Amino acid sequence: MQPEERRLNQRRLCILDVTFVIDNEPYRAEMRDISLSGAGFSWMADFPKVANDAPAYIKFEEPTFSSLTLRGRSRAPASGLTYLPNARWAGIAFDPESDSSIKTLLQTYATTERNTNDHCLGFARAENVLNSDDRLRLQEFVDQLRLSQDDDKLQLVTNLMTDHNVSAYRWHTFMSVLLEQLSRNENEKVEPFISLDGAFVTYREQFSLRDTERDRRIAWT
Amino acid sequence: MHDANDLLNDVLEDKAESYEKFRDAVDHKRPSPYLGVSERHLAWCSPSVDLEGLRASNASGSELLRAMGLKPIGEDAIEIIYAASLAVPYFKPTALHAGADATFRVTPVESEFGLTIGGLREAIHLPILAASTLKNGARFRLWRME
Repeated sequence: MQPEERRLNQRRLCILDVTFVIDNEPYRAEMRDISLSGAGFSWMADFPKVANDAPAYIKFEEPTFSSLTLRGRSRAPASGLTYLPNARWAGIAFDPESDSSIKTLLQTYATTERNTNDHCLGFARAENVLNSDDRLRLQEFVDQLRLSQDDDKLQLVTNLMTDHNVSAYRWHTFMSVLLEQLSRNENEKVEPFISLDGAFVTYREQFSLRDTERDRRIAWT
Repeated sequence: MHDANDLLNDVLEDKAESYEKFRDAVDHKRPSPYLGVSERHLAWCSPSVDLEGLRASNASGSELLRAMGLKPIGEDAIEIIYAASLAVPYFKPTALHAGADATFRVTPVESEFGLTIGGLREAIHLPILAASTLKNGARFRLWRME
């Protein structure tokens, strides 16, 4: 296998809103990773029971890729759904004739260099919902946090960015709180970790309890 | 008239009817105290069996606190022991629940529980009234700080 082909065969984080059509039935889904051979999805709303190995295709909502249609066969989990955050609920194995379209997608989409193993998927999924201005502000803020010389603070950032247990739902709420905090601090010289702490306090007092609706439950009685 | 510390000390010393008096006092306290910081905060907990394991190895109160990711503050601490069924549902803690706590340990998605810095399983639950846990037989254990 050539290096370029090997690279395209690795699963890449690629968060895009799509319509996933299985057996002519459309489902709103979020594509979470893609390689030359297939892609994985999380459902946007309900958890439909879908057929395995049925004819399927995906259509993209983002205008850049709206002309692309990727065809293949559906992949659905054999077992029932047990809730895990950001889980991959369904997949598609691409037909070989989709190759050129997939290559276009892989080469164009900005986040394809992110690896699904070392980047927090919940963060990426929530970030996908932000507009481009907010996404840029957030990215700059995270970069500032990473400049800290303090081991505890760096550990904090590492924990946040690598904890795959954090759901996209929880991340999305927190991002909104954080961006509001950053807007309030915009005209003052506020240390990034002070802003982060402020966002944690607001989030914990006002939203954390509510967000347990989407948290992962522990079977313990 | 007893103050709160006297009432609690009586409970810890297992004096007659002390538990009932303490429970009534908590029940009438306003604002009502919760397990956790307030009615708006999630509560963190560990299974008693995990703490028993550490205690069996003669861990001191401050070692127990540190194992739970807490910093000793120079005062004795009190463990509240209540039935797991009282606080259902439990949730797996994440870095966002932990906020600014750098002692939080990230666990693999496959692990059902979180894990404290001292290796104890940990979970979070919704705030519950302290009075409710007492009515359902919650017990206390004093952790002396050496």
